[in-house]
Amino acid sequence: MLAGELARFDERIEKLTALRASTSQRLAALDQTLARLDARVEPAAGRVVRAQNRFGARGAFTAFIVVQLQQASPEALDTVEIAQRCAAHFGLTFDTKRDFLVFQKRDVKLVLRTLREANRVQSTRQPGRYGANLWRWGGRQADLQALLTVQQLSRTQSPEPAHGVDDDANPHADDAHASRAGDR
Amino acid sequence: MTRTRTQTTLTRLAQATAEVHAELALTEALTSLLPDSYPQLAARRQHLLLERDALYLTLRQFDEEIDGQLIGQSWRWLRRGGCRTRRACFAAYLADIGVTFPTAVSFQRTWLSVRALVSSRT
Repeated sequence: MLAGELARFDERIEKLTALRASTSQRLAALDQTLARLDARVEPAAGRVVRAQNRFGARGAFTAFIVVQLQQASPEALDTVEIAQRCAAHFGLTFDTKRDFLVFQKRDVKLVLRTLREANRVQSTRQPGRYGANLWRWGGRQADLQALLTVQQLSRTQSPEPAHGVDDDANPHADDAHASRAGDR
Repeated sequence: MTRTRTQTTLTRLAQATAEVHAELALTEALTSLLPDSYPQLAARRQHLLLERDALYLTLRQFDEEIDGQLIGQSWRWLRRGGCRTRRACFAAYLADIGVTFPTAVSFQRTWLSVRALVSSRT
């Protein structure tokens, strides 16, 4: 198993070396072009910008998550499922399970929370202490009719109280769910 | 970068590419006309080829779908020296890259051979 991990690291090093070479070539080309267009400009004057370009065009990551939620609607998706779909779509590889958790927490949840604050997405949670956070497309106003229907059903069927609605109330839910998904 | 600035940059890059294309065409024509000046022309040509490849890569950095090879030629670069006529500009350019002529007649003959190319508006 360790030998397999080493082989995987070697593959990644090989890919990154090739990527580094092509990026270095493009940077040299830009410097040369800059010198041709205006020789007075110092190429290093622009300083180093560590721009985020893992997801292609600006807004592509949010757009992909929105499409996933829209396609799944009216069903909800949990955070781990959304993160896995994003990783598959954008070709992201994670060396460790922890890296995946960081991606899920830092990137995916940030977008989901922003969408929720913009009232474009609703969040709920599966029952239980380690229930996964669920995200469903549609704002609160759009879903008012569905809420009324659920309320009517709950009145007629059982008096059991509803579960929590905010994922922040259980910040470890996605971690536990992700760990279980990884163990599988 | 805003759309306006991107468009301005792309225009400048396309103009620079068109100028390199034109100068490459000129050096190619001169290489066959002036075999004695082959070293100077070959050196210039090598420099231009590197610049052309760099421009292609730069264009692709801004827009993946742009094919630099489809850009035509522009002779605006030849008039930058402040010369009054194309012939004078051509002479200044040749002096710049180190190509010399033993007689005025040989220069005139060369100029007549490339005049149509330099005056083209492709």
